[in-house]
Amino acid sequence: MELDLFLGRFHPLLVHLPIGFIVLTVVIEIIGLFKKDRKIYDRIVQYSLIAVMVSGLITIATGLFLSQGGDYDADTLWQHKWLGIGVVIFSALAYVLKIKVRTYNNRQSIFISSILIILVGLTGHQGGVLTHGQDYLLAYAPDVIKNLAGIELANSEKGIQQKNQDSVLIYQDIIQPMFEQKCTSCHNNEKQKGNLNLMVYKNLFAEAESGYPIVQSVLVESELFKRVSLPLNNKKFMPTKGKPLSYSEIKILEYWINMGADSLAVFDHKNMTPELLQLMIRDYNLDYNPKPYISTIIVNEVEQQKVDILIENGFTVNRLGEDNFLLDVSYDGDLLSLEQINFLKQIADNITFLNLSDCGLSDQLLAELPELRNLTKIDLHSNPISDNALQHLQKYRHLEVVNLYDTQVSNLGLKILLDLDSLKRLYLWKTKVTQQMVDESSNNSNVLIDLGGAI
Amino acid sequence: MDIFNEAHYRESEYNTRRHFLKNCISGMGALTLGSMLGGDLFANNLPAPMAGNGSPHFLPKAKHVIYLHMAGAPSQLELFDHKPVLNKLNGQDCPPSLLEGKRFAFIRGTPKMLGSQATFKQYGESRTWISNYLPKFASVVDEISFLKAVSTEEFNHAPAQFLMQTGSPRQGRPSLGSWATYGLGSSNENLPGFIVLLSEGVVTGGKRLWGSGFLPTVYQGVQCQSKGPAVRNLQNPKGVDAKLRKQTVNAINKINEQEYQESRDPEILTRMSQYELAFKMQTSVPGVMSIDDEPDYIKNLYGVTPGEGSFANNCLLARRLVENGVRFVQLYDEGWDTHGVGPGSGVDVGLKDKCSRIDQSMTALLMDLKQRGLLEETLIVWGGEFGRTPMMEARSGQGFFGRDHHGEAFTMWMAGGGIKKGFSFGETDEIGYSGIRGKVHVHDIQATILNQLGLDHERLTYHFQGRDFRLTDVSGNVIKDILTQ
Repeated sequence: MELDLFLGRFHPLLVHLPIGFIVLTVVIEIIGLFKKDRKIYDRIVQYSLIAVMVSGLITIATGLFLSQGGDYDADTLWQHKWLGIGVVIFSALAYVLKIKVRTYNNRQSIFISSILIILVGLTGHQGGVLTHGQDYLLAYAPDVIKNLAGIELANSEKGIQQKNQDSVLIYQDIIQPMFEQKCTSCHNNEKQKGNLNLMVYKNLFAEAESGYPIVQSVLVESELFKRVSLPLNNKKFMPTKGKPLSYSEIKILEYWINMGADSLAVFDHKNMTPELLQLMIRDYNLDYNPKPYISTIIVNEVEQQKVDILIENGFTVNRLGEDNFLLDVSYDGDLLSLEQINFLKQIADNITFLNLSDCGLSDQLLAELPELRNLTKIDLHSNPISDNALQHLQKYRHLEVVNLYDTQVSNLGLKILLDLDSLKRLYLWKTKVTQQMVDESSNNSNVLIDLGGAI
Repeated sequence: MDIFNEAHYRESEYNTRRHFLKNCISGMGALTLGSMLGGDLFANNLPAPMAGNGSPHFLPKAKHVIYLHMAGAPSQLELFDHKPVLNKLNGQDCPPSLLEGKRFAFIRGTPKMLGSQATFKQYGESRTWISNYLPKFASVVDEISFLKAVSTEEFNHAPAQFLMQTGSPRQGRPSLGSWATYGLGSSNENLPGFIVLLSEGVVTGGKRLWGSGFLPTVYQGVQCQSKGPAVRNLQNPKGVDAKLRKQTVNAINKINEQEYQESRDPEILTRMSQYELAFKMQTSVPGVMSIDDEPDYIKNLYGVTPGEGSFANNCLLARRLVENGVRFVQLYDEGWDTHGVGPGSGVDVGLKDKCSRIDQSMTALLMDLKQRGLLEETLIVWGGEFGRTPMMEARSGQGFFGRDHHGEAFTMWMAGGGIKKGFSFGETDEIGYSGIRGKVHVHDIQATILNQLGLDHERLTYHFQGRDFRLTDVSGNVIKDILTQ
């Protein structure tokens, strides 16, 4: 039996009785001030004060029961308790005085009224702080009033927007602000409902009333996750007041717990679901999709003079964006010479697309191609290239697309090419490579091989 | 104003005529002159102002665009938008709620609902519904992203074509291809950056569909033909050889140069560069535009008939042009306006016949680009200027199954350069009347096309008559849903 708590829960209901009687007392007393014959008013005040004392005592009793439930900030509770008791004691004093003098003089009247109102107001406010949290009263006040009250204007979302997405910390930038928005009115330093305080990181792993809020990497045993993901009408659903966690917030919480709930954890696309990736874009404008290598390259600008030399030698050179200095280079002539190849060295780091198709490029010439550390795509189609030359492509560690259609490449060459770790697409139409070999290869690699002829 | 805005503003300022005249007196002229004196007739730089120095704004997903415009507007309900409920309602009166406050080009009174005249089946791993009108195309649906709920405000051909191609229903704005080449320049100095190919006659909207509007005229589309000489009036007259031609152009441009020194009219520079380009095209175009040297199996793949101005020939040409670095190839195919005013002009026999004339070649274009590794760097766009009504248009009495113009929802598709494969975006209601999910507007299509070329449609502007103009004016959102990462 939890009779004390049962009775205690009547406290918020009963508390309005003494408040009502006190207001009545003060109103009648003040009206009486302006009347010649105060007798009837004094009588009403007398009875009203009795009512305050009786209802006040019952309220105090239920309040004491309720405080047994714990969960409340001790300091605030102490103040609330003694303020409440103070109200009843002061009403008793006022009653005794009333019996003695029958009619207060004006000064006594105003003094007693003011004290009663101030006491009941303070008690009520502390009660509000107990149930709703410290910042309850002014949480939705206009900024002007907040400023006057000295409350800091927090804006957690602003913080995320200003951050580089790779330095967004899941706990500090998303989970903690979310707790503060939706949980800490009941689970804070002052008031720890269910013996849970969500203001401090290490408390997340300390045992609370119904279990461990978070068990690192074990979602199903994390009580906090269970509570926020229950059906809305479940008795144990959290938060009981205010907006529930959004779907994205629950998904982020899930991800964070599964990843070990480290306070410095960051998002990593490798273990994010496609759904979470999309949710992060939709709700937080953070795109964690893996960036292709090409968009991570940082190279310096090349001198226009060097580009001009290439253009004079039959190359077309195109920029690939105003905020990068990557180049798309293609040779337009019919016969490429060693001398022309050597010009590529001048801008080697900037070349990411290279088209040397249909220009009589032989195995020997291909071997002379310089180191191009940012090369991601090479088009060598319609050249007299054989398998022998392909090993020279292995120095291009970021090569993703190789176009070799209409060359002498055979199955052997395909094997060499598939050793390129970064390779993604391979065009081998009109070569000696067989369909059978392609089928075999696609079983143990993710490279898309196009043999042409059909889609 | 941040540094980018400022740079952009300066760029626009630079592009105004007055500023051009004031500040570029010596530069461009000297450049052109220098290249002439140096023996090389041709300057590498286009004299006309170009956005962003020919650099895209960001990493492009596509280098080229091939836009297949089915002029006249094909019926989405017979090709891509499978609506079984509409078939059940066939022959019933159209409910007044669909007609209230709406204007149609030809429908008057209460029309009857018209079920699809085609039969649909699902194809590919994407299980995409395609009708029996496009049997070959059905085999390549796994390369395509369909946009099922495109909308436009215009319901007459010319304004709708202008809106689709220039971003405004009235003429005078630069076309898509002009904006693209203005932003990026041509990547082959011997060929125009923007080439237009027409099959079968003329387009309702006329030549202004590929005009450059207020952009310098170097950016207008160059119309080529697969029948007869590729470019009209490009050949030398009898008795004039290339050497004489070169001397002539030299002489003309020398006079132009003098004229420019006096008048400072930038259009003279444009004219000079056009002369130069035309001269270069005399040698480059016949080679590129001749499909005779293609092997037979390629000719058969496309179904070409040499010497004709057919869509098939143009598809093959489009591939050749893209292979040679042409930035924007625009195909127009007229004859999709299936009102059903007579036998063979409806969505039954007429449309099926029309489809049979593009089915093989547009499929071949996709396949051929793919096996050459070109599809991944070429954006293909297919669509009409609007769609067709789910109601029958019975202008000439009963008997012929026709559909009226309908802008509220129709299907377009894209493929290649950075577009998702085997994907469908958007959905129409049960009868295909309006979009209920994933609605996109013409301006969104345009924003997406520029985006794939590495251009930000909001930043690609040209200052004209006191304000910055852009292709999408004040609207347009890139359709990110159909893009790969």
